[in-house]
Parts: sequence; structure tokens; C-alpha cells
Amino acid sequence: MASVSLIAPASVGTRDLVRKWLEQELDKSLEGDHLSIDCVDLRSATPSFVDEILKVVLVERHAARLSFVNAPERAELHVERSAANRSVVDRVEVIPPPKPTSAQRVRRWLSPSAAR
Amino acid sequence: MAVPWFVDPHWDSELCEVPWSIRLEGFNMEIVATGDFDFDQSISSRARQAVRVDLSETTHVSLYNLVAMACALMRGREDGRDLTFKPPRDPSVCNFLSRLGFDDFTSDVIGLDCALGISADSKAPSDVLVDIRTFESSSDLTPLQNLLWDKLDEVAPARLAMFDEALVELVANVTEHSHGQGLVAAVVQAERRADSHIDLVIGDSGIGIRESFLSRPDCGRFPATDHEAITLALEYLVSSVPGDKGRGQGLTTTVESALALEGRVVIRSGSARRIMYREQGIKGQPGAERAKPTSVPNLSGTIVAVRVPCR
Repeated sequence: MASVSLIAPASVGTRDLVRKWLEQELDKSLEGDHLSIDCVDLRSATPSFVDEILKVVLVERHAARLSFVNAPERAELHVERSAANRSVVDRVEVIPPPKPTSAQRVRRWLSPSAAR
Repeated sequence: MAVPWFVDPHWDSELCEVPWSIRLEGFNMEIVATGDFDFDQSISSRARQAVRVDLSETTHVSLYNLVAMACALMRGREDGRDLTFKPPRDPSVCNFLSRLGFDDFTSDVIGLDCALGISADSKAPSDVLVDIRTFESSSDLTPLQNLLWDKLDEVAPARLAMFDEALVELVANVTEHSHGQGLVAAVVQAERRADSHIDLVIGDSGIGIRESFLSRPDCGRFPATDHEAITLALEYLVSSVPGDKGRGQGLTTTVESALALEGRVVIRSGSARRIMYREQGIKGQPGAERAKPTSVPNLSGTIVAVRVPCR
């Protein structure tokens, strides 16, 4: 099983943009692979973003496993729903970002825009 | 005690009234709209005739109505009608029309530093507007998303993320379902006060929700009315795109998320309009969801307006 990693751009919300992005970044077949998508730069994960990734990676290209790493808060709900709709619940996981330290929380409180 | 904004008796009229007059030149006919106006019906049977839009008496225009009018003007332009425009006294409306690409109507006011004319005595408009623009495709979204995150730094990030999602999903719906017609997006933040909110209005002059279903018979959905079409579009996993069981989440999730944040959503397509909101809860419990369907004069295309409190 090969591990493949991608970093999601800040804004790639629509299905056509997701598909273009994945076509640029991935091989035609991911059969048996584990794909990790790092969402650290992603501002929001739309239902379409999540669903199209699941469709392309797990259904069309047959990856064994898909991980959303550093996923935005709302991504978990969208992943849960789409995975159930596409019957791939056991092949996908969401890993939220680590909780901020006290110092990071203070910095965010002092300067909300800089923390984003 | 302050009245919660969602039961504000004026909010319905704020969204729906068109307090400007529209006159059709060449027919000796004048339409003065004090409620919703039927722009399409007025001009559709008189194709290729000049249409004169007279906004000289306009003093108030909501974002929703500005987008509705822009969509109607786009439709007139796409149909090849000659449109002329008499600017309102409030130059902000002209300025917005200019930013939406109607420069030929507004050349005399380009360059004025003004923004949304919410009302004659509103706060400085530049404080409330994020942007208003047209799109060719969803690829053009990024600059508006950047503005959203940069300008609305006082909005809670979770609400901004929901708003960003709504923007993306609604624009994607238009580009996919309106059959390539004009698209207008507008985002505005209201005054910075305790009950402030952010608004998003997306409009197009396309075929409308019902026709989108009917144009793809293989999706197996044949709504008989515009009201039925809106109901179908709001069902989870129902889409006019056949054969893909993951479709049909965007609009449903947008409405669900907005209502969960005590926001409200208005969908207007064809001759149907639905206003959705959540009643005020008791003792910290969420209130019941409400939907108010109304029949309105026909307007080609679809408009979706989302309002979410900033906090």
C-alpha cells in the first residue's frame, strides 16, 4: 500500500475545481493506496468539496483509504454524510487540527485576523 | 427589550418591496411598482422594444432588490432589448449597477465614492459592503472569498466558514443549473452593533429551478409548479443531475446551517418565493423551523438570499 499526500489549496470548493485539482495532482489509479489530504490551508470544506473528493478518490480511483488531516471543524459532518451516502464509511477518516496551546489562544484572542 | 431581528415586522417588506418605478417607453404605458414588480412579464410580449428604467424617485433599495433588478436587466440585455436607465437621486444605486457591468447606464456617476444605499440615513455604506460583482464561472470566486475573510474579521470564524460554504455552493449551483446565464453575487455586513448580520445574495437570470429539473428528464423529477420545484431542491440528495447519489447537498446544507445559526434564507425562483427561518427558542432550546411560501410575480432565474447574525 503506497501513501500519497496532498495539501489542499485555500479555496477549492466547487466540484469542477476539486476535480481539476485532483487530476493535476494524482495518478489515474490509486488502487490500494492511502491518500492523505492536509487541509491546513483550507478555509472551509464545502459539502461538494468533500463529496467530490470521496467520489474521485475512493469510488473512481479505488484508493484503499482516505484521510482528511487538519480538517476544518465542519468537515467532519460533511465527510460523515457523504461517506454514508457513498457506502465508504470504513475507508475514510477525519483528523482535526491539534488543539491550540494557551499561548496560541491568547494570540488569537488578541489578533483574530492574524490567527486565521 | 430589543426586538429580535428575525421577527422584525419590516424584514419581509425589506426583502420584497421594489420601491422604484419602471416605465416602458414606446407603449405609453407606465408601471409604478410599490410591491414586487413583474419586469419579465411586462417586457416579454413586447420583444425588441426599448425599455426605460426610471429610478429617479428611488431613495431606498435593499441588496435583495438590487440583485433582482440586476438579474432582470441582464435578462433584458440577453434578449437583445434596448435598455435605458434614468439614474436615481441616490448615486449609490448607480454605482452598484456600474459595478455589476451596467456601465452604459451609469457612465455619469462612475467614480463616485459611494456604496450601498440602504436608506437615506444609514451609516456610511462603505462600512457595510464587502463586495458586489458578477461571475463568469466558479473559478472567479477566490477574490470574493479573500475579501470575505479579510474584511469580516470581527465575525466568528465558524460563522464565516459557514458563509464561505454558502457562497461557494450557491455560485456552483448557478453555474451548473442556470444554463450559463448571468450571475450576481453580493455580500454585505450590516452595521457593527449587537444584532448585526451578514448578508449574501446570489442571483441569476437563467432558466429557474423548475426548468432545471424539467430540462433533465432522466433525473426523474417533474415539478408541476415553482413551489414544488423549490421543495424538491430543498430535499436532501435530490438533484437535477442524474446518476450521482452524492448530489443534492449544497442548498440543503446551506439552509440547514443558516437556520442553525438563527439566520434566515429566502429562495425565489419563477413565481414562487420561500422564506425560511427559525422561531425564537425558549430556555435555550432551538425554536421550530418555519417556511413561508408565497406566490410572487414571475421573475426569470433564481435568487437566494442568506442572512446570518455575526455572533
